[in-house]
Amino acid sequence: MDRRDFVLAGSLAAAASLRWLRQGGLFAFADIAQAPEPSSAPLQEANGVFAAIVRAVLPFDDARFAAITPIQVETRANESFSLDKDPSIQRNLALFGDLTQFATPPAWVSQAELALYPAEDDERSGPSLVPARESADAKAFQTASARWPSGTTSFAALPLAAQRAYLGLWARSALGTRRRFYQAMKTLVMSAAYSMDQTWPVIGYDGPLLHVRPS
Amino acid sequence: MTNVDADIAIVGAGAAGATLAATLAEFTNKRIVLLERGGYFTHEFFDQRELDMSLLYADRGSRTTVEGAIPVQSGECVGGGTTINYALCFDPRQDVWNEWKRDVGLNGFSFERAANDYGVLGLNMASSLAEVRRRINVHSPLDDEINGNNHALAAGCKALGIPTKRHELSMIDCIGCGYCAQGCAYDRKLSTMVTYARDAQRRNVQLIHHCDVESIQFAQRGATRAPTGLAATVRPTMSGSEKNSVAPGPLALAVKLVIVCAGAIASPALLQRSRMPDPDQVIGRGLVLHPILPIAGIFDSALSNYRGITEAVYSDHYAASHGLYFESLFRHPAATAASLPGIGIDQFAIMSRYDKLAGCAAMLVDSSDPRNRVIWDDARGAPTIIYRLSGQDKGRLRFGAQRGVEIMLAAGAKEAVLCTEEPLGSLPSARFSTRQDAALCERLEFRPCETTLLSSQCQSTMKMGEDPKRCAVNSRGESYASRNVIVCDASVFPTSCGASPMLAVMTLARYQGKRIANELARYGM
Repeated sequence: MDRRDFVLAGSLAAAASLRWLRQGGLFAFADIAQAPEPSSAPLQEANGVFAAIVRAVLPFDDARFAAITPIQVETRANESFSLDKDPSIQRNLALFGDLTQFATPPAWVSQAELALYPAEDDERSGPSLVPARESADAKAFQTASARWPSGTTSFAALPLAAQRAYLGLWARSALGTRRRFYQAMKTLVMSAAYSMDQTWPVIGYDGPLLHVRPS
Repeated sequence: MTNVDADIAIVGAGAAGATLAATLAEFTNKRIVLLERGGYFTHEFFDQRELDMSLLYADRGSRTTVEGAIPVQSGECVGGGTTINYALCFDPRQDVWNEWKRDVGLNGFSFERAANDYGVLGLNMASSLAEVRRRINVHSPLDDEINGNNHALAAGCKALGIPTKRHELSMIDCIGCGYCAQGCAYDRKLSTMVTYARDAQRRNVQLIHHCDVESIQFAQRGATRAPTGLAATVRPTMSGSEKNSVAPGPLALAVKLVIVCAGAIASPALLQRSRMPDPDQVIGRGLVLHPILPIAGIFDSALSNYRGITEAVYSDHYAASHGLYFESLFRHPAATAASLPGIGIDQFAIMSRYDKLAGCAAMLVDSSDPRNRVIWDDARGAPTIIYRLSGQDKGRLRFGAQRGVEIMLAAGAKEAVLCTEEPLGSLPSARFSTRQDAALCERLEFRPCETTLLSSQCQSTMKMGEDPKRCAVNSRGESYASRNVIVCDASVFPTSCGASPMLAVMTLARYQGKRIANELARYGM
């Protein structure tokens, strides 16, 4: 096995995210016959969705972060994690990118929620039923999206601030599967970016010490 | 198909397996095979890069609880966890072992040096511990080996009147590079890869790495079940690994005694795959994870805390009352950025000061709940790990979060940061500037996938004890379901061993190795 393959297999922080996405991610409980096919129009936009996620997650709007470009991060993420070649990941990105699906998530999301995120005795967020969680998300979306350009149905088309707010809805979603997707994307993007040597001087990290390996 | 004949097969070459193999080879002339799922990587391979070194971890670091909420990290390489841990050494806690003796009727495990357990001359925990401590050079780091991060934890605790202690570590002449978790590139950390695994090989133990053990095979004679061998597959050797002792392909091992040392996830998974009878459903149940909640502090000046001995100072002040340890923690950039709250310029406000960050953690000694368990999933070919924090454990972690924030602020941090996306009252994100803010930790819900929790000390899924209804193995580690199957690793602890487990596991392995060597007739040898 080539040394490079180790890196392709995924980083410690990213491996769990990748594995979940490849095994279905948001679609893990979906009847795949009902899920969009990899050839359908929304899926062709999946690469655009990931490009937009990279730009929203990383601080390219801070001049100090100019050491790398969004394209470099995208390329590294795709090389390291094969995001652009995996139909399951593409499907996940397309679902995330379609704003019209947020307020009323597909039925399999509720199934995943029931199976993996059961109500807990000490849950403080009120009635811990899945419909209550879904309506909490719908309400949060309604509040946030009121400030976005009207008629926008795609994440990639939102302005940067709105994209970050939308990611925030996923980060703090009442639905566990959505929080997991957010964590997965954040982990993949951060792993790709901060494993690039060029980002290290920006944050004051001197990198590996191996040049002083004693004989 | 490769066929190997041996007397004893040890599954797993980590803290337990390597120690056990070396001990058995020292005291017997039996033919021993030591099997390891991961590769055999040595110091020249360790390149101090987070991404590359993930292959030293179980499932390349992708192992998590079923919701993806907590990574369940273990080493998967020769040396196991000891290759990628921070070398923390806690003597086995006698109070905990005494509690186990009371609760599950453990035999043996005398802590008196004069004791001869099972009638074996000199067999006791004290002498086994002393031998292990000597072999891996357990010692406290010197004053000049304490880095800024550990000084920060000590200073913060001192300001709050919380006493701290210095860790004991298994190292020799550490150069302080800060990459213990990526494998020691200098052989200064005395993992079992550089100690007991090599001792074992020098004494002719056959090491087979890259080895997937599919199942233990049994023969049933009347009411007695005993293993005949192991079915395994040897994968091609990865580049960078030492050479293997057998060719890749199917491997059939004929053995008399199987000792399972694969850790608290893989050990029960192997027995479940092997269809081990389990009438009372104890195998895999009661998983303990020692969840770790990281807390960061942002300081004014550069500390470069990624260098130096990562963990040298801790406090067990709240161990008895809350089951909490406060310890140092520092992670490299990719892992840090994946955990710090928020994204974009908000997160960069913290991340851009990476060299000014200090980190500590609240580690919880969690309760062993039978609902938390490992289930081997044939369809996926992987273990499913079901683990949820109890209400009480969440309460303890809230206290840990608040105290951790206060410690960072008392140490002089301008702000303390929790790795959570949770909204906390009036705070826009989990950044705390005052002790009043710290009180908002009370609101943490610990919903899965919202707050970073880490874990690397899984235990208690194959509990030992003298009650077959509640335990999977007896005090000798022998399975209740089959003769000649012994489990010897952190999974046999009836509850958490109460501290970072490496030294307790190695002491247990040394002890059981000496016992087995003196009781070979018991196993038909």
